[in-house]
Amino acid sequence: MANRIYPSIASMEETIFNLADTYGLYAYVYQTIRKWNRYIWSDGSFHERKNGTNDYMMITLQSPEGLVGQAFCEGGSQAAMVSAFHLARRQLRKDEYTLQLIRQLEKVERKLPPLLMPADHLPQGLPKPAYPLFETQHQKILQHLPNTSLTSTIEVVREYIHTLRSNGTAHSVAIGRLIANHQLFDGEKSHHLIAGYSSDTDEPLLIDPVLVSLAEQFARHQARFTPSKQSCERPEHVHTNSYLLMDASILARFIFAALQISADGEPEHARNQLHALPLEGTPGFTPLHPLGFLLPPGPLLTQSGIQPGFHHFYQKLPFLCGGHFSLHLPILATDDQISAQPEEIIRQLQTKGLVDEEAVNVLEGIDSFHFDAETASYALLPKYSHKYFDGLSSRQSPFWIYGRLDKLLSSAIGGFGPIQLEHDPNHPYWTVGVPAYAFLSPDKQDKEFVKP
Amino acid sequence: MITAKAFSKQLDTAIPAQLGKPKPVSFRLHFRQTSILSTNSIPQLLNHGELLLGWEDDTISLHEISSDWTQMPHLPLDEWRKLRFFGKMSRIDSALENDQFPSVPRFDPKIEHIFLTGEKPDWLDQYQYRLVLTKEKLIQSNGIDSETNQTEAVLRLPGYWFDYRSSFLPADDELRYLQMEQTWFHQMTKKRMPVNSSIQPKSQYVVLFGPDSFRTILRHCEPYLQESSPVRFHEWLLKQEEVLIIPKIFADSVSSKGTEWLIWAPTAYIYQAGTFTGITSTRFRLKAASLFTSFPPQLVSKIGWDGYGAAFSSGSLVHTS
Repeated sequence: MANRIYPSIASMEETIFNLADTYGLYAYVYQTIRKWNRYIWSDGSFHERKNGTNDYMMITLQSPEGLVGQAFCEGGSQAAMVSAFHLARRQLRKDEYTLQLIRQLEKVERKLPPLLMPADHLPQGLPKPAYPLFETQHQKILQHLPNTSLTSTIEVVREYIHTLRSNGTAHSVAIGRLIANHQLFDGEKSHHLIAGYSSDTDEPLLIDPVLVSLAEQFARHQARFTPSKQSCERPEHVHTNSYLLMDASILARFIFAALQISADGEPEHARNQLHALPLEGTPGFTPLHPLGFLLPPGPLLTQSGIQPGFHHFYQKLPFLCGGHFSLHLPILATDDQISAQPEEIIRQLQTKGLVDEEAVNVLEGIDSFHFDAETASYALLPKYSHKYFDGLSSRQSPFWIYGRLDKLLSSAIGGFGPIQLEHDPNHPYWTVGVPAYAFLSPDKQDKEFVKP
Repeated sequence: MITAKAFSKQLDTAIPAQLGKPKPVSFRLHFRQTSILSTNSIPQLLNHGELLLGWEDDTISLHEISSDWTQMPHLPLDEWRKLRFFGKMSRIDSALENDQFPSVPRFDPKIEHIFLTGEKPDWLDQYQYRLVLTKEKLIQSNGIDSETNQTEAVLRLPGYWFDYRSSFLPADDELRYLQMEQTWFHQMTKKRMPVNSSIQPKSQYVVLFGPDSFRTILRHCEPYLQESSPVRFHEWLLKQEEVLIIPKIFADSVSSKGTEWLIWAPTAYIYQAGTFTGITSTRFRLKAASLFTSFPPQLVSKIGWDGYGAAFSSGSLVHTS
């Protein structure tokens, strides 16, 4: 199919490599063709379906003097590729980060065979009977939340990735992806329930695990979607120095924000390290790096700051590849040792001596979140807030928190509860694994609390 | 790029092989080509098309594709036919609407020239820049065949925060002004304060919203703008005792009806009598109804701004602690 509609990948690459040879340049080419079908239900009935194809090509050129030039192209015509080649060629300049990353990736790859998977083994998408199952779940959710507007999307993707370098090393994979998203709108704010997975075998994609995950998420968060009539205490004063316990959705949002920070600015030091992991099964799983190498796990944020090599592509071309990220946080207790309830966690923190006489503010869900990448500062209004003080829990009306992202991530002391997979609502193919709750100590934190 | 006529022909040639099956009878194709050249990103060439087909059995089908349509020897009609459903043709129009403030397409052939030839003006390399060339094409089966070309230039001198933002590259006199402004800025700056420093403005001062943040305010308020003449930035700034310049804001509704907004400005630059004294971040409440009626703003123009900024006295904004 791909070959019938498009000039074949091989002939495109031939053009690029012939041009590279002509100019005496070493080329790294990464190409991906994404064919997708998307189905949307809205408020209990079928809304629309759509199919599409995105083809992307990333060209990296290296001169004998070690200069690097890159260009990115969407749209597979021969003419566009040639333009992209010349864009990359004119862009040739000193780029230590990319050169260093190339050396690093070469080293990893030396020990491994090329990845070559026949493209015809690609999963042929979702079986038709799966759609009614999804639709039924959509309608069930609406029954529970009568005053909510609900839009549900299911997307099936067949992605072919092919890489080639001037030395002849080629990799080629085919990955099937399935992602489902319930978007609830309560009249003021949107809430997302997202679940998905990927597979690189010829097994058909199954919707059952996705449906189960969505149902579990709904059960866990249902209280958040229904506006509460219970009045709650408004924080009377501005807190300047308090312990925080935040749930997985909030910590995840902070991690996704960290990917937007420009690595070109001043280096930010972080106590907790953030890594990108090619984790099989996650909806954005990709085993290849856009430089045309096998993708090993790589650091994004370490003690010495943002690592531009790996960070680069996620920040600058967020739609090119999905990814899974993980914040290295000491897990203070998993589900086996403690039920992941805030009361229990705080009791544990007290026995460990991590919390003294002060109050702990528990933050759950996101009402509003803003992030300014230039200053790495954020503004967060959680959906729910509780105060734990002197063994007593009281609900309080949520307040805004402002601060710097690097300081916040560094102040995370540890996690509680099982690791949860959270999706970025802006890039559903980006996921993080984070504990159900994370504890943040004020010592390392510069934050201000403000009444809304 | 493709014409309405050429695409009609492409559809027609695909049909004869499909005898006995429903045929497409109408179409709407929106195609966009974006080229981006930027000092801190990878150069990009993006092609993106959205196609709506109306079929003879009153169904429609929706497709997106990034390839150049004219390169397709055979349109995949079989695949498209399978995706038909009953829907309204108008749906695509509402899908194209978005939250963006409407912008007027403007085009600078000098920017297109840079994309076509790779020849940049010498002065450009002093700046961090982002140049964008967008070509949009809308073709419909009813004969509509329209093309829009648009350019965008954003320039920033390292260490200086007033971006130049326009559809056009600066003209020679504008460039001279920008260079003067930067020199002036560096001379007047005694020391650069860190972000989020404890510096807070005095009780009476003026807040100048840059064009971006002013647009955000316009989006959230039903403005009544008095027809006052805009003043020039530099002369105006020198006359003000204390000014907070805010290029970017985030707005959240405080009340459910959107009558009051909480505004967060991650960065605000403080100027006293024309001299830069520090950077801070700030937040305040804004009452949509009374903002423009009781405190009409002063419009401020500046070379490098793609719209007017607006200055309000601090009394019109309620600061939160």
